[in-house]
Amino acid sequence: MSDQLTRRKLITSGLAVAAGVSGLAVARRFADRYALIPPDYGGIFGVGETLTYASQRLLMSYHSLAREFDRGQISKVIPVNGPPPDNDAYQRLRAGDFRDWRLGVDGLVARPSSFSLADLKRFPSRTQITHQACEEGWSFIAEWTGVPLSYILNFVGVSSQAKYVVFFPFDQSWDSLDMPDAWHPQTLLAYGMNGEDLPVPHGAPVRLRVARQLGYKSVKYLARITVTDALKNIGKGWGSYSPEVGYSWYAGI
Amino acid sequence: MLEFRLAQLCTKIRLTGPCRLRRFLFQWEKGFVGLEQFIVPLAKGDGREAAAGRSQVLLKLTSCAKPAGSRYLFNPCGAIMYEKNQRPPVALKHSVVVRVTHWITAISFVGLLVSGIAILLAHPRLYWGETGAVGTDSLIDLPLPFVLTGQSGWGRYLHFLSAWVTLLTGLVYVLSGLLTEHFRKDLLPAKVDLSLRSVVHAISNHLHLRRPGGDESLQYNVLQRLTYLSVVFVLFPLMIWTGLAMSPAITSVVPMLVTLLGGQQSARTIHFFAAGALVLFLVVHIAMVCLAGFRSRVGAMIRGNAAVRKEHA
Repeated sequence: MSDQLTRRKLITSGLAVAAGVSGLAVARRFADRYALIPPDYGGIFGVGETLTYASQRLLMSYHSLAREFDRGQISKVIPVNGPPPDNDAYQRLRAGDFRDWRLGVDGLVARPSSFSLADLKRFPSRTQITHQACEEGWSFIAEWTGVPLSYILNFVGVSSQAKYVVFFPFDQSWDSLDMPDAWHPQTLLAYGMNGEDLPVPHGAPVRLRVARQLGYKSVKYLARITVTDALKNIGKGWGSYSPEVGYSWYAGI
Repeated sequence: MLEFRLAQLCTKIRLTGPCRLRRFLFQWEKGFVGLEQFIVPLAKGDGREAAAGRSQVLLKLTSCAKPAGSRYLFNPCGAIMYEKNQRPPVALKHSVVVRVTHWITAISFVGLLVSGIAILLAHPRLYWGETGAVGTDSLIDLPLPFVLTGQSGWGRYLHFLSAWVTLLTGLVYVLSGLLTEHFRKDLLPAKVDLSLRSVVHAISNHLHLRRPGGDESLQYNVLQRLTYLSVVFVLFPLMIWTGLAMSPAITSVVPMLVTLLGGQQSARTIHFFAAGALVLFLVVHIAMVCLAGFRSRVGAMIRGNAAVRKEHA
């Protein structure tokens, strides 16, 4: 009731401050060790991002699966944001029905490789009906078919130093995933949608599907994948194109 | 539980004002004193008091040694006892934790509101169920423009930062409120106040802008109690729940968060309406602060002391 400084209060606050400072130091080491700091951790907003990312990574297991739905729940209306890439490289491949398309996989891998669309379709596939929300607020449910990214990562032999998998599409919207989402069983290199070949507006020939994050993490029009231990030399070093245009790198929200 | 109006009790101590007696242990500003209690039912036909169903309780101090530095007595439910010939005391003070968490929450709530609007404007339509998009049936088309110029980017960064500040501040506030029994003592309404008559009386007081006088003004009335409790224990938890229910990462761990609400778009819609309820609370709260005396009320939330004869907004 009294605001006066009593001995008990002094001791309590002293202990609280000491606990706070050592707590922060321990938290920092812990966060570094368990990869709990997102690449866009800088600035005042980075504090919120780091808290969100770290707490979700601690909460989620590698295999907590996003909800899957029935065929009957597939949305009839599936809007598209943005046009396909208008550069020559993409348009040429599109004109040839993506027969000459190759997905390069390099970086911290034992066997750098490149895969054709037919190669990917020969690999074991996974089909899942999942919900995707756009950061804008709208959402839809669709069926996706593709090869799990984990299969490709095993195929090329990912180094134990790998911390991120970076995806370069034919447009500028490159992005990256941390290893928990890269190895996640629902993370696909999708070539099929609702039982048909992936349509061009939805990212043909192959797009990434990240079931536990917002739509913008599911990079369309894939061209190359790089496995790396650091993101600081790619783009502005914030982990993806999104933070460069004002959106967070981690979108598990 | 008794509600009573206390009269002169002993030569030294006078009790006034309606008061709910829960514990027969009264407190000086520092330290406790025990009380003997005598319950004297009101004589039949004793006017107003009897009609209101009140009993009179006489209290006599068994030990009234005044701890050094204490000025007055007050009991755990907020009724005031003070020494004769003394000015009515300043009693119900906002604790340091309440004041600090109040202002941090005020700032972070503005952050949440502004950024929430920025996010909403990217798609000002509400749906029910799992999905919804332009071209599907909406629940409500808000009369707002679609703003697709990337305002949701900083909006989202600010929203989640503010949400963390609000959440952590709220945890401190709730834990402290439970430990110090602030909720039980100052906010939980007594059964007697939850009667229809009592609630109607409180509403009528508000509608007529009748200010409580004297000691009645030293505690929260039943409407304030119910409102604050709803904001703290219903609306904010609902905001957090519906917010988490929109996260595909969180719902991969706890799918029930979203399935119980009927889907991701339902969660978004409930999030919107709960936010609307909080904004309504904020507007009424500020209006009541202005009516009760802006300077004194805001001052009380900054410095802690509450001047008597002012309503606690």
